[in-house]
Amino acid sequence: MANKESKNPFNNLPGCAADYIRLVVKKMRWRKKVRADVQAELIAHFEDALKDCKTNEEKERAAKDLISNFGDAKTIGVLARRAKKRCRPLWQKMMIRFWQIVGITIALFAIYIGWFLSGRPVITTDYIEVANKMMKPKAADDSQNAAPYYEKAAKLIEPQNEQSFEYLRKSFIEASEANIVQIRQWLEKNHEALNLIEQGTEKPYYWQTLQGEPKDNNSMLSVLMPSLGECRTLAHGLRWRAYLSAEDKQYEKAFADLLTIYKLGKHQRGKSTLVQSLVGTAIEALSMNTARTILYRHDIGPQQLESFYNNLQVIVSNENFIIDSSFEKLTEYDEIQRSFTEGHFGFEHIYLKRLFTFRDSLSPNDSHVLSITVQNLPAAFDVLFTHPDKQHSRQMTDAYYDFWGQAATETPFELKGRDLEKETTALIKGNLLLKILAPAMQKVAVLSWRNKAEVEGTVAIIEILRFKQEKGRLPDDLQELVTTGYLKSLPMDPYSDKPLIYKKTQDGFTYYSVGQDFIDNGGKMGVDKDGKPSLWKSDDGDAVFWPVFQNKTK
Amino acid sequence: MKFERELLKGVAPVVVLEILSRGKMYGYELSEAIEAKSQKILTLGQGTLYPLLYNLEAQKLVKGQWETAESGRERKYYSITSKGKEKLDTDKVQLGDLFKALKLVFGTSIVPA
Repeated sequence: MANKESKNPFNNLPGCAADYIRLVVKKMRWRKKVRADVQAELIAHFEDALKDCKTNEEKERAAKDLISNFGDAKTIGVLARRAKKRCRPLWQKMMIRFWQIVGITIALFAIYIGWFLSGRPVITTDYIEVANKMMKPKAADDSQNAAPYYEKAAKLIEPQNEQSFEYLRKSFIEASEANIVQIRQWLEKNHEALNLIEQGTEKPYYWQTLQGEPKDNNSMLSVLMPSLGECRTLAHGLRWRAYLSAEDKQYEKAFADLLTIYKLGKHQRGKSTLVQSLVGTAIEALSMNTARTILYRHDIGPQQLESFYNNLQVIVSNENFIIDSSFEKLTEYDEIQRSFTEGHFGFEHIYLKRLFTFRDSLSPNDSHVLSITVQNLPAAFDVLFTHPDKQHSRQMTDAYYDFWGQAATETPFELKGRDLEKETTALIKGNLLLKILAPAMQKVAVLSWRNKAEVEGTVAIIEILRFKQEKGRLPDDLQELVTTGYLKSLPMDPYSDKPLIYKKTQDGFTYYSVGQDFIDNGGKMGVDKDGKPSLWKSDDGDAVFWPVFQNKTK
Repeated sequence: MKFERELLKGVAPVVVLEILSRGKMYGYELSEAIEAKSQKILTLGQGTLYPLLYNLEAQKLVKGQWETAESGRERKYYSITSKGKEKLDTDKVQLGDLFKALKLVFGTSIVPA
C-alpha cells in the first residue's frame, strides 16, 4: 500500500495538505487499518492533484485550493467512517451486534445489581407492639395476668439443659425407685415454684409483654419466649405430684394438680407464638394422659369423680382447641417489611442481606437455596428477577394463613385425601422468603384436633367410670350417658367424624379413636416406629384412651 | 457549477457507476473524469467522492483494490461489479423516465426563459 512506500508518506505533500489529511483520518476515529487505507488514498489523491506544480509555492496554493474543494475535515472523516462501517462483512456485523448485545446486557445487569444491592428496608410498623396489644385481653388489668407468677416460678427452678430433670419426663412405668426418690426431692425443693404456678393458673388471663432484640432492630423473630422450657418442667413436676398424691389416695389433691396443669397449658395457648401454643397443647395432653392413668390405677369414688368432672368442664367448656396463628402471621408481616427494600434508589425488591441471615436456620433440604453455587443459579435467578415483591408477599401470607384458618376448622377425616402441603406450597410458590418462614401448619392443625379428642375423650371416661360407680354397671353405649345426663353430647372422633368408639369388654371397656390410619382396628393400640405403644404416632393402630396401655399390670 | 446538494445526491452515485462502467479508476482519476465528461458541470466535492465510493463499496456495487499505477505508484482502483452494472441499468432507466417527465412538465426546454 502507498503508506508503506516510504517512511514518511507525507514527504511529497505541502504541510497544509499533510495536516488536513491527518485531521480527516483522526476525525474518522475508526480502526487503524482502515484509517491507514483512507490516509493512503487521500495522499495519493493530493499527490496526483499536485504533480504538475513546479514550485513549492505553487504546490502550497494548489493544495489550499484542493483542501477547500474537499471541504470540512471533520465532516469528511465522519462520512468516511460511516461508509467504511457499512463495508464490514455480514459475519463481522453480526459479531459486533452480538458483542454489543452482550455488552448492553452486562451493563444493564450491572446497573440492575447495583440497584438490587443499593436499597434498604424501611421499618414502618412495630409489630412487637401490635402483637403485645393483640395478646392482652381488652378487659383485663395487670392483676388478672398469670404471666408474672409463671415467670417468677421459672426463675426459682435451676437453669436447665437437655439432661436436667430427665427423670421428671419419664413415664410412670419407666421411672425407677431411685427416680421416684429424685422426683420427691425435686418436688420438695421446688414447692414454692409449684405454688406460684398454682396461683398463676387461678388468674383468668395470661399474656406476656414481648420485647425484641435491639441488635436485630427489635424484629419479631428476635423475640424470645422466656420460661417455656421451665413451664414444661414444672408441668411434669405437677404431673408427678398428682400421680404420687393419687398413689397416696389423696385424689382431690391429685385432681387439683391435674386441673392446674391443664390451666397452665391453656394459658400457654391462645394468641401466642406457635411454639408456645404447641407447648400449651402438649401440657394439656399431659394433664389428660395423667388423669387417665390415675383413673385407671385407682378406684375413685363417684363424688370425687363428679367434682373433677365439674371442675374440668368449667375449663374445657369454653375451650377453642384450634391453635391461633395470628402471631405467626404478624411475624411474617414484620419479616416482610425487613426483607424488602423501600423508597429511594433500589426500592421494592428482596433485601439479600436479610435473606442470608436465614441461611443457618434452614433445614439441609432448603439451605442449598441460599448457597452460591452453579447448581443453584436458577434459584439465584428467581431471587434476583422473579421473586414476588413486598405487596405480593403480604398477599401470599394472607392467602397462606386464610387457607390454614379454613383448613383448621375441618377435621382430619374431612381433609382425608387432600395434599394440603402441596396446596399451600402452590400458594407461596416462588416466594423463597415465605418458604423459609412459613411454619408447617398441617401438623399444627392435626394436633389441635387430636387434643380436642383426647380432652373430650378423657371427660367421657370420667363419666363412664362415675356411671359405673353410681349404677353398678357400665353403660351399654355412650348414648346412654347422654340420655341420663352424664354427658351433654358424644365426643367425636376427628379421624372418622363419628363418635369415639366405646365397647364393653370382658375386663371392662375400651374407648378409642380410629387414629390417623382412619381404620377401626378394633381398639388395637398403635405403636410408634420404636415399637412403643403410642396414641397418635401409629399408622396401623387405634388411638386407645382406655384401657391405659402403660399400666396393664394394675 | 454548484448544484443543490440534495439535487446532486441522487445523481452522483449513478454518475460514478457510469464512469466506472467504462473502466476501473482510482479516486483522483475518477474526479477528473467526472469533471471532464460533464464538461465541468458536475463537480463533486472531492472530499465527498471518497465517502461516496466507500458507500458504493459497502453496497457491493463497486470493488476497490490497491494496484500499481502506470506512474509506478500504488493506487486504489475502483471497478464496477456485476451488481453495480445491474443497478446502473436500473438507475439509467429511471433517470430517463425522470428526464421525460421533467421535459413534459417544463415543455421542450427545462432551461428557464
